Amino acid sequence: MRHVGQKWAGPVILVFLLIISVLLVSSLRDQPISKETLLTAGSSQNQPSPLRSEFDQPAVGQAPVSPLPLPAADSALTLANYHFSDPGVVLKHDALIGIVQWLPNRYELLLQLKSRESAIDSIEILNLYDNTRKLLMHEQITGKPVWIDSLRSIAYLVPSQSQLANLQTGTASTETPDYGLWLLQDNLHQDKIASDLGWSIAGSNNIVWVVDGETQDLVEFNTLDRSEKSFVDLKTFGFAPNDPTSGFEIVASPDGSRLALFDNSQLVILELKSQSGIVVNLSPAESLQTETIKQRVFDAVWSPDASQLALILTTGGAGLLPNSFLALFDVASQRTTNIPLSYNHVTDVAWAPNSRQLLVMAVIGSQNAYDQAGLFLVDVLTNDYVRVLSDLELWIGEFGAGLAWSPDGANLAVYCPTLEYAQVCLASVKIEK
Amino acid sequence: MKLLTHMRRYRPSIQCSARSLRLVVLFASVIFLFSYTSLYAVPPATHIRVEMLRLTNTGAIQIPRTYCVPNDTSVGCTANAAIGVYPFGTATTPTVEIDGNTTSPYNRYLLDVIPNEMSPNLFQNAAVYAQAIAARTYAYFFAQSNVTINNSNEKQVFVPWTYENLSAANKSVISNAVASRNYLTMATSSNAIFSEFFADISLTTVEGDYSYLKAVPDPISSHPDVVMDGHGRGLSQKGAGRWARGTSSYQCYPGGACTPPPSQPHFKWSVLWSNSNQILTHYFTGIHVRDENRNIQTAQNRWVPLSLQWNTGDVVSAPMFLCSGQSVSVVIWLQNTGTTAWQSNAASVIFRGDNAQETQAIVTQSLSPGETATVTLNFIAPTTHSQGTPYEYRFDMKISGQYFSSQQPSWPMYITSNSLYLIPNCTKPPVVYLPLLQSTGVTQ
Repeated sequence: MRHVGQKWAGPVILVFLLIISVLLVSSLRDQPISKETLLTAGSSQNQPSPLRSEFDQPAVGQAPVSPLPLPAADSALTLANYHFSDPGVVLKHDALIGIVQWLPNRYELLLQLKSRESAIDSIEILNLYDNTRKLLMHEQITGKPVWIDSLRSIAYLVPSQSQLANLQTGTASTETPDYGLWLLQDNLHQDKIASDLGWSIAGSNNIVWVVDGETQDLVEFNTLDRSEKSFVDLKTFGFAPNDPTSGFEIVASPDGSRLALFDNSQLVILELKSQSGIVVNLSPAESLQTETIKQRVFDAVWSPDASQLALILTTGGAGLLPNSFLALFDVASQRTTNIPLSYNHVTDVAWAPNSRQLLVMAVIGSQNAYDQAGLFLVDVLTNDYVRVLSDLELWIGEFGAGLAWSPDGANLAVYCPTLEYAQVCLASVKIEK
Repeated sequence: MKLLTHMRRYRPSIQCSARSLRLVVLFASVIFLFSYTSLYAVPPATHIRVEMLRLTNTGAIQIPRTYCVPNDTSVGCTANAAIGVYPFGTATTPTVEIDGNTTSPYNRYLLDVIPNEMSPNLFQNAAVYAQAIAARTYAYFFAQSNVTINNSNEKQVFVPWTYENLSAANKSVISNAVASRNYLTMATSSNAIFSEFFADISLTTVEGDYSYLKAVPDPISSHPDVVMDGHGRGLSQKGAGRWARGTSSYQCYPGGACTPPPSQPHFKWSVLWSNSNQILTHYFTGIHVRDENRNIQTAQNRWVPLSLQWNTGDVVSAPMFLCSGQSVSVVIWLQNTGTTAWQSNAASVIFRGDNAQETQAIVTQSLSPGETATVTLNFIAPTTHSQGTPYEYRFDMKISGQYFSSQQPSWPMYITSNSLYLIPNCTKPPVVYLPLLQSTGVTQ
């Protein structure tokens, strides 16, 4: 008996300890992220992951695993089905932080950090499983970088000196040799892949769209075979991307089938398959006005299914925005409708995977010359909206860089600074039917 | 000999010196007086120190609070990185020329403030001109006390390269708005006042810490869509926009309508001010507008109409249909926007129409600067007028026999006009069904 007891005691204790460990790990995962999970600059400690547990977690030190298939987008969901956990801080930093996007693997965030001591940006990947940060680059770039997932690379534009300095000096300056389109892999191998391409950049899958600095043609660049083709003369649409006051931008749909091209005066939807363009009427159809103030696009975000384009419109000209409000362009009906929200300034939008709900950040008040922010979940079918994460004290940072909803809809990254530090918070999203 | 020579030479020298001394004293006195006059004739300040911070797109300060750095492309440090990066190098608190011009983008203030505070896209010129004068005065106020301000909407939003980022049409509006170099003072001092302004308020502004920051009625800001935004003291920016446009709503967004559609004529207000001094003297009580040499540009006796209410059935503006020789009355809500009080029965409103006799209505109560009263003015419609052609209704005021419009400097008459149809042989005023009014609100 004694012998038998001794024989089984070890495995029993082992199994017991294993069960306890599993329970502890599960409970940790369900908890909101607390101060203990705070990351500091350069941290590589293995902390409990703040992500929800139903993902295939990669082992530390191994290559990232392929993402699980995305859950089917449920277009029947309503606002009442969404529940947001208390958010927790996943990154605290001295530099200002812009959230660029979630990476498709759903456990990494691409961030743009703006130093408070210099004009140089850092592009970093924040891994939310092992709480590590990887610095990709440290350079002054134009706009946001574009993630090329198959190459684990970012494509980005180095600004032309003439773009930056022409009017400032009154004379054309010599171009920097770095000016153009660059590709930077996450093994930090850096490649300049095209010269004289600038002004704006967008990407989807392996394709990057940029503008030829000389001809002002829209150029499609395949990052895999490094081939490029010019296919649309932007001047035919009335765009002048080389005019620095035009505010020209390109936004690509997630599937790469459509581009939204806009500047301070117009919005054009380009169907890439047919290479046909739709010039969007930005005046709402129901308006009765006798004198129309021209609306322009400040920012645009495609829905995951590329059927709708969420627009942040403004009636302001150059400079700061006297207002910024939410509108929706529906590709099928080619109609633009305003989505009423009782706030003057909408700053960020992020789509739910079902292309029906939108998370919107807006200015809800002001305190000591700082803008207070609120988050709203909007149903674009009904125009209903509810405030979410209302207990979280939020402040406005850079417009268009404060919000990202993970591709599976399970997690939400929000810029949540304090008076002393820039921070990124994470909240998990649960669907309850 | 040598000595004598010296003495002979010395004596005249003394005489010469005494004469020279008198001349020098005289010359010095002239120079002093000239310098004093010149010194007195410059504006209260020329430069201001501005703390430069990264901002949000609303003009608020980004937190954590961060200074602009060399080559910074952040919002607040430049209006458009494609035009120019942060222009002040390592200086986080540069000193810039308040009235610096369009050719010196590294050293100018107002041209890069006004478009951020009041977009020419959304506001009529009279409102933008009033904003320019209020913004200059605000800068002078801090600069004359050597106080540093910041570039956010806590004070007034200053973003380098804003002017270069404007369309050609808007550049023209802003250049014209700053051209006069006028600023605001109290009646008895040539120092700049604390010309506070704010985004919007309904019906009445809020009293401030100075005598010129009285709470004044702002009846044009009466539409339900008016939302209080800001501290409420001094000039209401959207209120100024409404007075300059003549609408009670400010429906510029979302949706784009800035003037009322024909189906909603109640958006239209009965008066419209096309002169920036009307706006400024309405919101700031008992002040003067002065030029860059501190010369007073505004009359002592001033008024503005806040509303007109006609007995002819017209909701707004001026009548379009009148019976020949009909007795017409209009109730005028007016404000004393001058620097002196009106004693009871001393001031009167004068009406002059085309081909019509001058009539007047006495303001029976005493009115201090900023206060308001209503008077009813009666006149007889003309018996002849070319049908459907413009008819001008001119309103002026008079005190102690002096017309306000004929003072030096003069104060504008309020003129509203409409196409007039005279209906012969009618006994009752015609009923107006169609709100086809076209008020111009021209001032002289």
